[in-house]
Amino acid sequence: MVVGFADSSVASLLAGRHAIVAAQGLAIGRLLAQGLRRHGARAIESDAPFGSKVDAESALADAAQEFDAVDLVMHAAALPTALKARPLDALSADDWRSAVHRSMLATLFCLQGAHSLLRKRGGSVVVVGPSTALVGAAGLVPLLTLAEGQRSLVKSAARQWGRHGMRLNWVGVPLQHYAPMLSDAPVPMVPELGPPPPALGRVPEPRTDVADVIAWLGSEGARGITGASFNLDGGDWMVP
Amino acid sequence: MNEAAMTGSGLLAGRVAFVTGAGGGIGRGIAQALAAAGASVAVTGRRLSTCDDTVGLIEAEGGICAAFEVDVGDETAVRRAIDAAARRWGRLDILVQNANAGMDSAVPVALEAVTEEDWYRQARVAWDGNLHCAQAALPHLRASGVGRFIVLGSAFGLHGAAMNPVYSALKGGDRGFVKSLAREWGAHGITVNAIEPAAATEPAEVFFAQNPAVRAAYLRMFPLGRMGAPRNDIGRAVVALCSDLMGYVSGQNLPVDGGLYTAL
Repeated sequence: MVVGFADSSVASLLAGRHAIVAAQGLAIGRLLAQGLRRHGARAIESDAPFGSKVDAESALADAAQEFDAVDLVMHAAALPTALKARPLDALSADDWRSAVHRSMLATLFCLQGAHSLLRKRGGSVVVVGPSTALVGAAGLVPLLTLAEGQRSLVKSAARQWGRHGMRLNWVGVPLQHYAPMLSDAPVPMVPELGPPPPALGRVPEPRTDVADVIAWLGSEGARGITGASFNLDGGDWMVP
Repeated sequence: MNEAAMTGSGLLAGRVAFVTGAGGGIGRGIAQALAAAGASVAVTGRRLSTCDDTVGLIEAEGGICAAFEVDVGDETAVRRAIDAAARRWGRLDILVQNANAGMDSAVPVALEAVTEEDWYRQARVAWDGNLHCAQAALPHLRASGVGRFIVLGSAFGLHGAAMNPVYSALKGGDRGFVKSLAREWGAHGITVNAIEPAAATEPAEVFFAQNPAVRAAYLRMFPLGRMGAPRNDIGRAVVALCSDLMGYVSGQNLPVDGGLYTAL
């Protein structure tokens, strides 16, 4: 567990707020935690595996002990078996189960743990996934099945737990940041013949561009937003 | 419109289809529609008796079909049945993965109470079924030259329904599966799509019988004013997607729901 303090050099969307970043070993978790600290949050990183609801509740409760209360839980989950590119017909049944089922259950258990933490006073949950999930990619069927499953689960949770003041949203990040080991995967190109995408001319950076949006989702300014998907790809596919 | 045009008669002449979960509901409607369009249909399901009922309905209209007992969560059983169907009719062109395990009651499922067992009960049918059907069907669909792989999704997966979060997540995951597999199998000439139906199935009727007020409110949400019929609305859409008329459509998630979901 890593505990960090606020960085005072930027605007403070999360001043005085407390965040848990549970990214299940994905490197992007560290970068996003750093980014949340730039916004004044005290952010704890938890890499504990969520193999059960009890595991998740225990890990999140341990992390929350550092704080009076938790305001934001940021989560990402994809086991290593999901982070390999290969055709579906070359996938073993064991790899499929690990890639989609165990990863998905980690997200289910994390959301349940977040519900235990936040149901009394509300709060924000942000699940991060690869933006490629919105368009699909050859060789990545397990990962992108998982990611779209996580995105729909976030919507269902948002509908069920809104009455508790809980807001749950999904943020898509470029695949090379979500899973650097897949940087060479054949991600489809948007069929744009004008200025080369992404429209902003660069891929958003996790520590700044992505963390800024997550910080905003955890702030009072996003109090009216839940069940939404934010695709932070710099203006690449511009999905409907 | 004449009857041939309405049923798509002849559109799928000579084609062979394998439909999972075809012992009732939408799956039965799809099997009937495919057979009426000229396809030979493997009617598959966990209970042979319900598949036999579907076979009886199809054969009564002169259709060609056979029943196969298959649990799509069983990789070996799926492969055996797909190979048997392909042997019986000499080819396999169409795989419709319709099997699902949904809710047992009309009571909303509280996400905080969902267990690992709840997950696997539904996921082994929906997601493992997708995997098993795709892996076993690939050699046949590749050889077909007009291969079609269709997954039955759900409006639940589009808007993230609160009623059954596990089902919503699984149907949402189907989107990622279909989009990615379409990109993977395009080189083989196989189209991969999902249909998101809203149909008046037996479970839906049970739910509405228990919640009549919900039924009236729900029906008002449909621009067309009614839920779809498994055969004539959902089945015919599958026929169209399997025909040469829609051979250039792939990687899509198509709501067939009377105009219910328009947020795409």
